[in-house]
Amino acid sequence: MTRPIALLLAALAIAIPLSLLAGQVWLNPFAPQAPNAITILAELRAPRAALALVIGAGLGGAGAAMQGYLRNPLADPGLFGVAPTAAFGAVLSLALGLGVLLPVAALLGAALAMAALALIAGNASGPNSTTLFALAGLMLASLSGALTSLVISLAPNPFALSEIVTWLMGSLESRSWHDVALAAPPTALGLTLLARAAPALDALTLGEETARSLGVDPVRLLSLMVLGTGLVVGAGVAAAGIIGFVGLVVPHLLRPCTDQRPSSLILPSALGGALLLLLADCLCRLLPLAGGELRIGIALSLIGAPFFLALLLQLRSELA
Amino acid sequence: MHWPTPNPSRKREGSRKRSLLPSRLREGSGVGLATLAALTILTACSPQPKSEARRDTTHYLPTIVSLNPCADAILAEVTRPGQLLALSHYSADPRAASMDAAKAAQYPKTRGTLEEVLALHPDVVVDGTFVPPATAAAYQRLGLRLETLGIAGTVEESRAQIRALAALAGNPAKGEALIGRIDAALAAAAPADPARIPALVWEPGGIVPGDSTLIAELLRRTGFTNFAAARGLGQADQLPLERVLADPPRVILAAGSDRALKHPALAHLKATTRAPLDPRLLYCAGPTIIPAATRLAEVRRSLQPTPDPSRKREGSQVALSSPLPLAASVSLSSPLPLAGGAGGGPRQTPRQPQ
Repeated sequence: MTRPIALLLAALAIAIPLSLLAGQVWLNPFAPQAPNAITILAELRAPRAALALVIGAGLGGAGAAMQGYLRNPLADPGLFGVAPTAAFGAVLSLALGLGVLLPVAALLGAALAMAALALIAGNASGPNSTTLFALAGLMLASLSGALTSLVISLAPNPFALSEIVTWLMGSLESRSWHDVALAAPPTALGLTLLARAAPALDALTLGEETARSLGVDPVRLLSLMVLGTGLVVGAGVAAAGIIGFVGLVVPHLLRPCTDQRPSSLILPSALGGALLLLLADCLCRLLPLAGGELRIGIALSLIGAPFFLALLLQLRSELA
Repeated sequence: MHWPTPNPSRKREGSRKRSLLPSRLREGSGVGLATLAALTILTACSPQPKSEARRDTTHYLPTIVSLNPCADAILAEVTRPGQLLALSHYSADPRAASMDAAKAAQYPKTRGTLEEVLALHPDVVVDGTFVPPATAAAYQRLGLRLETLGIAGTVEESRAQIRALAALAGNPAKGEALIGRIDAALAAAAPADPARIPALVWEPGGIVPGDSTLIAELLRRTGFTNFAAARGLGQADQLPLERVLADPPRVILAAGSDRALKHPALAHLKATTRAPLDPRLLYCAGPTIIPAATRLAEVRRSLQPTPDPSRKREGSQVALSSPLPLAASVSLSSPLPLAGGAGGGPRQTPRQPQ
């Protein structure tokens, strides 16, 4: 179990300094000659790398916890409907011309989704409580997705329209330390809550009834999950827009390296998510397109999907 | 400028012209119009009473519906009361309007749908050059005369547009009066100091204007050079934040606000002046030239005494008080080695204002 963690930490230790080299301006690390090289490093690339690490860690960890909680490898943190609801809040603020309030609106949206989930599924204690919970999340996601499309189609002018659509694709472009300060505390708190839920998730792998007999309180577990995921996803959306894929793929990639228990997967997934998002963001910084920087969601799929397909191919040959 | 020919084939020809707006924006407005048009079919617009302009004047003044915000601003200046039946909905939106809100409030607005135009039944419909072909065909089918307004890339083109619209409205004198006001504003905005300061007009997403745009001409007329064009960037190219930090211009005119334009790292550029430029000043020519030139002149005046662009990196405050004639401003940096081209001055061939 410690092997993947050590490997991932080593990879991050290599990737983080290298990521500071990725950008539109070449800075020679041995003799930086460009003017404002320090500013570019300290105010542009460093906060961007830090934000990629924070959001990637949050999404990876939350994805591992979600897959453990729902006992379904297809689950990802977006399934709770928190991300689309947070995005709806953000889009609404853009459409109303209140871009300054975007992070607040996104966090409010996330909080609203969490409150709705708690209301719908909070007191359910039957054997189907997780199903009820997942369904409620799906409906919230669907509703806020529809509302987001409505706001887009009602955009008052083309400027608001392009602003919204660009924002929705997710990006770490031009982020500053303010964004890191905004996203890091909720993400850290959310990951702590998810880590506290980990023992209960292990017990849950034996089935809900068995878990209950082992002393797992389903209501407490649910609230830990909702709060933890909500904080992580809400903070991520507020700082960088919707970033998918990490929460779904990273736990899958790392599960074979662990002992398959959810609790032993959360930390490696957080590290793996941080690494994947950092690499994807480097790709964005290095590949400027005519229409702007490569969007992080595209970069993630470009990097992650081949890995994932290779993993599936390997699984198939093992099964055969 | 193909004006005032209502021939749709010539209109398409016009659409290939250079444009002031970033292509992103132009496409966006098309998408926006289409989307909004689809959604607002239900928004009924009450038919307007036929204007007194038709009865009261000795010669017939055509009624006009404008569907384009740039045409809105010009037509509001060159029509008589009652002649302009409706403006585009953009002019009702303070973020998109190119005209005074109080003036725009006097006119009804349309969402640009064919139904609304038909209900108003004007003699002429004025739209931008990017009319969807199906809509243009429908105007023709329904017997409405469609005139299109291209994007003016120079002051001269804008003058021609104003003359054409004023002639269309039957009030050439009002057009000449507007042109006179524009020319007076341009004359007042011309710099007393012959030095040309490299200025970066920076729009959200790092977009910069090319050299063949109206804002580039206004920069030249108000004592600036287009920093982006001197770096080889064309219309709607992107200049990322990192490049601006590595090679800072003397002046950044931030047109709008996005993360890059207000990034805290820009505060480290001590030798760079940052001034906001209302993005609405970039959308249209016509009467917008007046506040745009005034704003640029205001920024230019606040920069004196002028540091030599070619010595900007050293931060030296060399006041260029040399009695050089304007045309000689090319040679400002010629005694200096060309290596100091940080300001973009040496590579830029200044154009003399007309």
